[in-house]
Amino acid sequence: MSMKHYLICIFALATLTFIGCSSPKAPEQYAKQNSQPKIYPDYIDVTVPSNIAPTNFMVLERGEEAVAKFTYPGGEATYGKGMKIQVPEKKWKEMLQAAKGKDIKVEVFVKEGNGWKGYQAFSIFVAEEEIDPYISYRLIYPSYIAYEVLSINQRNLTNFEEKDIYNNMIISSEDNGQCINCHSYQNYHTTNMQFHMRQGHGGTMIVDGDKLTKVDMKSDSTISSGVYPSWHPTQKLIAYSTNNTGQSFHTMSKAKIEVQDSKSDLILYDVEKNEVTNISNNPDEFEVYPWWAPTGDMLYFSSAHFEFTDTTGTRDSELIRRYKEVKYNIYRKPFNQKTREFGPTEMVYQADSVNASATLPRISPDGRYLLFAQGEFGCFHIWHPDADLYIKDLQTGEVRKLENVNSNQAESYHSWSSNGRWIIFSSRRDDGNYTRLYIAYFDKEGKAHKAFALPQKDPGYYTYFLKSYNIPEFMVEPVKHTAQEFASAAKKDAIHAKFNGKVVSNEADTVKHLVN
Amino acid sequence: MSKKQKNMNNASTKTSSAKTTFEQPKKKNGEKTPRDFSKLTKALPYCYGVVFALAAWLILAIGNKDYLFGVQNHSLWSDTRLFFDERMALPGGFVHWLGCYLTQYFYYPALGSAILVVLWVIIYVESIMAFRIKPKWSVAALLTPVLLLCSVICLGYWMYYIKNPGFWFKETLGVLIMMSAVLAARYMGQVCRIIWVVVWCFFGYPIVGWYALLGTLLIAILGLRKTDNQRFSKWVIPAVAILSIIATPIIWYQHYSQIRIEDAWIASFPLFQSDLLTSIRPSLPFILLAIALLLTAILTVACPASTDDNKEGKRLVPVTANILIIIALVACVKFFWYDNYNYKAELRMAKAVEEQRWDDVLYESSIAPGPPTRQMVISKNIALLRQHRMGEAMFHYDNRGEPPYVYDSLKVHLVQTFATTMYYHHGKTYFSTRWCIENGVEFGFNVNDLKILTKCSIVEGEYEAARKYIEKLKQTTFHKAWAEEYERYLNNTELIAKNEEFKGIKPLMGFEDLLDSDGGLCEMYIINYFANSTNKDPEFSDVILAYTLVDKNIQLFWPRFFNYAMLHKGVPMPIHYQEAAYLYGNLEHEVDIKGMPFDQEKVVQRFGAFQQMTNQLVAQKYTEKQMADAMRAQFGDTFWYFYFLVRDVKSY
Repeated sequence: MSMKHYLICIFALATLTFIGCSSPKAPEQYAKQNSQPKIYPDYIDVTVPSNIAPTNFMVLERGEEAVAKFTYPGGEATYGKGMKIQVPEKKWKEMLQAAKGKDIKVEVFVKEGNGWKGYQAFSIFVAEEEIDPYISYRLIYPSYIAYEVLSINQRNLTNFEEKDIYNNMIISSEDNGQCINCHSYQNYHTTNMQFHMRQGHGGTMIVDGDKLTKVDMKSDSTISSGVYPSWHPTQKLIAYSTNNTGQSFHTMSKAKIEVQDSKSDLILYDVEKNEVTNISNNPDEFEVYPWWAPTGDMLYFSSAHFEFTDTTGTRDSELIRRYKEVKYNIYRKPFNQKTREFGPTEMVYQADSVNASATLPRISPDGRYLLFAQGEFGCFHIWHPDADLYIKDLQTGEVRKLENVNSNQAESYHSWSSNGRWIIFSSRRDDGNYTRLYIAYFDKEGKAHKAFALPQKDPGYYTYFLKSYNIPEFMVEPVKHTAQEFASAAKKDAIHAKFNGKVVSNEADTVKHLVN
Repeated sequence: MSKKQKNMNNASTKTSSAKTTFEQPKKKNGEKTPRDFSKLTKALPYCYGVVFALAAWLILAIGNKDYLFGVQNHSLWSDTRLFFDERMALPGGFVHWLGCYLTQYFYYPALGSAILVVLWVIIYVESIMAFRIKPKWSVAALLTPVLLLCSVICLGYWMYYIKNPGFWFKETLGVLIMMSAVLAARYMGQVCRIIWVVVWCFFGYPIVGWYALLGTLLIAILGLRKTDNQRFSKWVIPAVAILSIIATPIIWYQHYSQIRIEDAWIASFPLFQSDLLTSIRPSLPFILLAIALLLTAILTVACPASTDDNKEGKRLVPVTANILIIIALVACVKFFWYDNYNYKAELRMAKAVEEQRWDDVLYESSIAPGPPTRQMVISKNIALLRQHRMGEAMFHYDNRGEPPYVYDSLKVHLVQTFATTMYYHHGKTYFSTRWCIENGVEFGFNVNDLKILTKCSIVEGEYEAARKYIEKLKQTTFHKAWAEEYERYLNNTELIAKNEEFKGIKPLMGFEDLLDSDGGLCEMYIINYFANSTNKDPEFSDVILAYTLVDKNIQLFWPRFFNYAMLHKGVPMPIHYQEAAYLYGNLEHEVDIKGMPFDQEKVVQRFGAFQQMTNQLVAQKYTEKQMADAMRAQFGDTFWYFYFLVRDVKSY
């Protein structure tokens, strides 16, 4: 082959590559549609942080090809391949920076047959405030009893990078499986964190700076090891609930699974002293989901008053029969950070008075708002289609269903970003079965904006991914230890925590007064 | 190949090609010279290859077609990056991924078998080349493909419990790639080979897992064959290989977060574990395979080729050995082949249930040569339920039910094999969904589960969930059409109402919500659930009454019998219900049956004959089992026979 032929070939190849890589163009002629396009995930008129990964989406309108023209201050760009709109990360960052505090206008065009259709434009508002760069969550099949692969994952919100913080298969064997659950960080930082492992090599993994320790908090005087955790924002203390949890199955309800506690108390674990003390252990109360106020001087929690009356059957069977009677209210206990003692219990929100059950209290970083999940009954709202997110303004006492974020499916497992401007939560809104993470902007006036799905590189990802996202928690930095380091620590024998019999609460759990 | 060896081989070829006569050649001094079998010997590898390929294909495509169809139904491949990434999260992930893809081709068992056989033939050829096996010993190269064949046909009920959906091709692909690497090494110079050992071991590990380490070991052993003036490199390759074998898994462990360090050296080795059982037999072919390959490599090094093969006495040894090896290979296949009638019948019935070929299900039930398994009995009941003939024909078939045959102590549970289908066809779609998910979580989602999840979601009205499962099925190669067919039902209540399958299930979903669990005994749950239910729907009441008979509960029977009669006025009472009413009426006399219009011939007279025969046999001191055998031909199709003589049926 002569040099001339080589050059022709190279030129042809370069041309083809250029054609293949160049952005598509929006059509000049199209039939105007009167509606906005149907897209998935739904990013129409949402507010996004200025450092979020590209909000790629699929166009669900009938057609063979779709393009989206993004117009932002100082520029425009058009993308589309098939029916998917995927924006390169670099270009997206450029758009976000240019549109900070303003809108990105998105016009969608769909080719059907020989012609194009142009839909009404929608906006993506770019908030000034950034979102914490990392979140972590547990990935789990929406399983009933069986489990196999479980992982706590870390996602960089500014791009699509996801990795295992810990995966139970790094230590599980067929005859010695391991379940992992709730992870918690001290004040959004990963220097001090914890997660719990059950069954094989069980124990609570405490990360105290560089030190990894597996602790066994179970004692004869506690119901279980620590289950639902909350790190004190400044001190090396972790509040836990201890629970006796069971589950049963609906024969004919979209709720499918009912997870119930037949016992639950609150304990406090002192990381430095390796010591457990009781916070609250009233036998007629199911205390659960402790959460520290950002100042660290108040511990919020949910609790249901339930008295067992059946003297012939088991507690579990009675609870299964009366499961709709279990309704949780939200309480709090003042905490003296010097003496490390709790004050009397205060009612914060009496959900049972409105025939409801409120769980997972989470206080906004500025201390003003209490965010919680509310359903008709029970403590495990992630399986309750009627569960929604509610908010209480602790200054005014106003309680309201959080606007723009709820759906007709379950919403739960909510969390505030460190600047208080973003809320992340799990929702089953997509299909009723698989939880997906949604993020909503919470403005300075205390109003939530339309929630949007955690962006994925492939916008179709959620349509075929069969795992659920549970317990999303914001982090300002990635976890510092590797899964292998956690595995190495997990293989060692757990250190038994000392149980200090004293109750660090100075009264017998009688509710003193209603807050607001 | 050294120059010396090449010359020797060439000389040998020339000599043999000169001898073309069929007559026995004579030595110059008049003595008989040995017959020249060189052409025949040269043809041996081809003959063995062809015979093996044909035999293997027949064993697979004909002898195991039901099983292989079941295999692809209990496997899954998705045309997505996610599916690829999930496989690659473990060492050997690439062959796992590719194995999943190729396993799909068992949708057409003959096609899937053909692909598998072609791969085995390639492995056979590679083995001959890599180990430089002489034609007369080429039968030995069949050992690897034969063991791979054994590994495919030996699983039986492990098919439901294997946590390795691409297993049926994955191992073959692993061996194929490994042998390619070993073969490539043979054509390399010393320096290249040292580099290759490191490169193959390190980069082969994520591709083929433990086969990368085995392949490295084989290269190291074969490297010892170099005998001339390369003493230094002769020992360098094994040393590098051993270091690579030790170091590679440790290095890669830092990358993988789903494997235990202690398993890193056997990563992707097919282990068969369930609960506390680790079964050796299905793993045995791979243990033997590794040993055989290592021994072959050692023999290749230890026994250099001899040059006097044509001597009469020397020829006898290979001939005898060839025969013995062939016998051993056939015995090996025979030993490993899980060829159980009920197992295959279950799979045929499951396929017929899926395709709603109810008559075929019943036909299978009727031709079973021995006691069926409970799954076969349930399949038969589903077919009759769908045909609304439970009351008419459920005892016409063998209802005994044996536990499945297993060659080890694997505990087979219906919740893992058939509960999802059973619950779905009984309207307990939420329980069906539950077991689809439970099994999917534990053993990996498969086509069968996704189809049932789709159908359950559609009848429950959870269309978005159904869309998700349909989306997964559309990502497969052979189930797209099914997915597109069911996609039409999403949000289309009119179409759902017209569908024959859904029409049969919807009426059975008329029950109240409560918190419940089957405790893992799905068949007992269904029997108890229906026997203890009451319902005013005619179809529901039919199923209730049928299971009240199975429950053999007289107190529950009468109210359900009258409820059925009320809801089916003007319709002839099915014969089994008459048999039960006549029996219970005569047994307890709590309900006056005198006025009931029993069929005189089929019920009244026949019951008289049943009693008469029973009395005779009792008088002859027959045991219960002897009575059951003696009366089966005449009365095995009655409720009375089931009531008195089918006992101690254990579900699992």
